[in-house]
Amino acid sequence: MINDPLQSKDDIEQWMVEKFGDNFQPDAPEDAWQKLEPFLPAKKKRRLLLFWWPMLLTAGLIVLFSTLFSINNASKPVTSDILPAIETNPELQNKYQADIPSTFQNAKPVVTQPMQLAPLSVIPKKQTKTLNTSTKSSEKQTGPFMLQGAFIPVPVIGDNTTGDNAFIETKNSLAPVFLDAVMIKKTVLATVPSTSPNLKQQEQVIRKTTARHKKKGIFLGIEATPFFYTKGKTASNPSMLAFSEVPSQSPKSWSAGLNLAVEPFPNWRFSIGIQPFRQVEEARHTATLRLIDGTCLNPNDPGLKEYQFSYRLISGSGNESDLSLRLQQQDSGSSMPPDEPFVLDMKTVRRSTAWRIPLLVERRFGTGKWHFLLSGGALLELPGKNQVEVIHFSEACQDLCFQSGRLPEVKAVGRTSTSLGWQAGIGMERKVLPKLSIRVQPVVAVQNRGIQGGLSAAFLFSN
Amino acid sequence: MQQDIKRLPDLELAVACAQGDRIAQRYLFERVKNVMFGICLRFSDSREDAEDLLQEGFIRVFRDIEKFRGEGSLDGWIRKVFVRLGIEYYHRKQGRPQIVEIEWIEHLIAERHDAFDTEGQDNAIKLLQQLPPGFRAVLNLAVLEDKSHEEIARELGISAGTSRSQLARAKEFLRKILQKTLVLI
Repeated sequence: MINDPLQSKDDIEQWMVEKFGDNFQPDAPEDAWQKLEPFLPAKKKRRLLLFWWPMLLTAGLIVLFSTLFSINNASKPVTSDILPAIETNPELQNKYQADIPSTFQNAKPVVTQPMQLAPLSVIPKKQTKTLNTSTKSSEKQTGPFMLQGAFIPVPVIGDNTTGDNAFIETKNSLAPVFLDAVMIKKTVLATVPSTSPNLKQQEQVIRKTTARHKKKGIFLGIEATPFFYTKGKTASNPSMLAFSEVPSQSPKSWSAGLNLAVEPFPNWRFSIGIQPFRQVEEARHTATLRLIDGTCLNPNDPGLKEYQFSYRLISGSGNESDLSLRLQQQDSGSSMPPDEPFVLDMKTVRRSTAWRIPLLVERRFGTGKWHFLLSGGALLELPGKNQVEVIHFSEACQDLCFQSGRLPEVKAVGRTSTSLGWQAGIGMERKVLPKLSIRVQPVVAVQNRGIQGGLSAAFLFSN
Repeated sequence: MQQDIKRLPDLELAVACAQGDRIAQRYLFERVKNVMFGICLRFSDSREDAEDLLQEGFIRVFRDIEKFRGEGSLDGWIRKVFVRLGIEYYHRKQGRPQIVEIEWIEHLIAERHDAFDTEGQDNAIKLLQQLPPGFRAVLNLAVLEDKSHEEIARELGISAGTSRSQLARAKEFLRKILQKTLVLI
């Protein structure tokens, strides 16, 4: 038998709390789990770390651009199809044998030892030779030639620095080059047996051949990227009280670090880097709060009440922080209703750090010193620190104030998480020394929290 | 394994449940099922409906548990899911909120007062389930879930003024019922 619960208007509420409050825990049906389990989702497989669709999109763009803007002319195969035809054709074979000595009889040997090359400085860049490469003496060809001390004439690339470098770089694997060069020579004669060989064609073919025999490149880069544009994503439906910051000025952010690249195929590079990322943001926000949004820290204290408020702060760059502050009742006689809003203005400085690991694919176009390049790939970001400092605040309201000394006790904890996004760039690279290049490219980086645009500059050292 | 599960913080437990760990899911279910069943009983018309709500609620919990970010307790987050489900149950049952006028109360009391089961342990819940759904919803939200009238108005699709008047009438109605059944509770 309970006391009569109907003595005052709050008695109904007391009765309800007594009957159905926190202690109201009736027994659930015994077979509840058995009925529930078949409807539960199956165990999830680990999601693959990679975002396939941005990488596929990037790869597709690179392939598309390489097809449209390729400046490497497709040339006819010069070896496998034609050479057997030459070798099975006695007429061509005889012509080759007859032509070669007459072709090179006026050429001075540049090297005297077999399988040796003269230093680059010995070979004049503009050296030309007049050669009679056919039975018709009126036809002449020009171009520098080097006669190897052995018995196989080897045409070389002429006045092109890259070509010279390419040839010298292949000296350790010269035999295949010789053979290719021989086959090329035969091929040229086979295709144009009665006319002079087209030396420009030879140059291009030999350049391709030597490129195939080049050592696979390894590149170490030092890179810095200031970001000039930052836009954060708006947080969707935060489950707690949240306010957005308005930037006082554009966030200052930059990254710098190292990257390592390999070039397993001509004009294709794959790189991985490690870059610390820094960002500083200054912003303002206005928090509209009510007492019911906070927690009374001393409800049983007959004196001044103290409240703690917690809310999510979302910056313009997409960074999130959890901010809490304490306010004290000004006067115990305050009549401020619990649902009356009051406004706080605050200015904050946020300093965040992270580690970025770009995993990129690069397609390069061009020959010589200048290269145009497209890059794209995944960008893994590992969170670092995220510090928020409140540097300015307004008065709370007439009935509330900050702690003693009228200073807000504010704690901000940055919310950080590992994220995987993507990065893409278009740029130019110039070789300034044999093993040193400079690269500049605008880049776009997209992460969970937003998008950034910057300008990357790098020094690349090759092996 | 069971000992390890019990020691897990709420966020890690939620992550394990989101990944489909049946042991974690069973542990969480057993931990909160009675409290949530109490919420279902408070919002529903009958025990059968409450059992259906319980199952539907936990399906939703384990489907959406990956959205739990660690703010507040996991039990509190689950409670919100079930309260939301209770409100949806009210809307499903009633369509538009039923606004009960004071002159209907006497009629309802006369119709229902002899339907109370005076034996058993759950007289109070049965009494609550006898209330018109609109009264029951407002009482649950205002008194037991500590929602403001503005929040109740948003949830139920009524005005804040209507919420206040319905709460007053719900209390009056319940008071009259309790007066008639006071000696039995």
